[in-house]
Amino acid sequence: MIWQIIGAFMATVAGSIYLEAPKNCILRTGIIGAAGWATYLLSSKIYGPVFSTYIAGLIISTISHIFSRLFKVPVTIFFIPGVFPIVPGLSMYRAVYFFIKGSSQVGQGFLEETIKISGMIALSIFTIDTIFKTIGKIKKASFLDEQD
Amino acid sequence: MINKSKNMDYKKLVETAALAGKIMMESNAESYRVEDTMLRILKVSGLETTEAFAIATALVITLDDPSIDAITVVRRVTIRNTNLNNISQVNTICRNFTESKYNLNQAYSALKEIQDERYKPFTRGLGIILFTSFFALLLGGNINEIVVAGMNGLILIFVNKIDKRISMDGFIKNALSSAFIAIITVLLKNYVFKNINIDVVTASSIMPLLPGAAITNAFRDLLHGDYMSFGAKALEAVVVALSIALGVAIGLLLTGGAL
Repeated sequence: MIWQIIGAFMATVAGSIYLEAPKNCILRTGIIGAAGWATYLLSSKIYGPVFSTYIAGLIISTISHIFSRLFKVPVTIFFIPGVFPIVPGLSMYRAVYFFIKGSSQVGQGFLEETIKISGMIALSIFTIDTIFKTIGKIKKASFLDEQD
Repeated sequence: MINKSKNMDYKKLVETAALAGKIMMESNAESYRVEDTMLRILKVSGLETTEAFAIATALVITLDDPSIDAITVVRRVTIRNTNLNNISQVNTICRNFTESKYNLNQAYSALKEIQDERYKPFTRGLGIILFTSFFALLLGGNINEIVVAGMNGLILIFVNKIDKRISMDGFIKNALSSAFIAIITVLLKNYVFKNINIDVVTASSIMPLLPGAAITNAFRDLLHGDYMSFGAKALEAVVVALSIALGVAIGLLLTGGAL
């Protein structure tokens, strides 16, 4: 499991190079990706993949928002690479694989999982964005509403 | 903020705002961020009417006041490649401009100087290879799976190189990349690394192609009430996902990997 988390760190770092992230943000996105994937691994043993994605998404977007306020860059720069580990690539591949193989039943199951996981990522963004928006409105502290 | 600065070149101001917006939109920023940035730049003029409207495929800006003729520009946005560095740089320039650390000419030339690719091709290529191979590690792959995923990263670089020469359609490019990935993976499994898991290798190799940025930005736009942008980006994500699925399907069918 340690190796998987290290993999998540390095994959996120490499992914942010691929997406041309600013140089001083690369290692920070790695931390976000590793934290998100560690959360996912821990919670997927109890809650299964879909709900764990939601929990991991909450962690990822919270850290991204905090980093964006700390380092004064748009939140997207941390969030897009940080979310890479939980993007449902594996279930999407499996859906295609089983559809070609002719077992549509299994394929549909994986397709459903892909859609559910994407929805959960969206839901976690919704949750944290709304919370931070509300905090920003309550505390009109100068540096808090500067960044979005 | 409202101090009517006389002798300001309004036309250049509008140009600056449009350029900032266009760069951000092409780098796949959220629509509300693009609108917000353009509005901040326009508000520096202190004029009565400042409007900025951005959807994923176009942006419109209007600057009007009783004292001047209205200026409206439309910019069509045709390419969208995620480039986080551009978003961050435009953000910084805009902040410097609105806090009057930059004057208009400095801001405009700073925007003009933003480069599309800041990393060297070698670093970018290494990034893709490391991305796919470490993603295999993330999914719990063994050493052979990591190596094969890294080789698939090379394919992605290769297709990108071809794409630069002949500029393919995005759909074809994704389908071609994922088809190559599926073919190579199945062939390597059949003839070289017999113990690899095709699931893990293919899933990690198609990772750089997946529309993660489009999905996240789409939903963030939806939350801000930009329904048009949400629709455009969500559809983009669906089309990209379909193209990858098609490519993988072709690859698996050609090599008999699904049998």
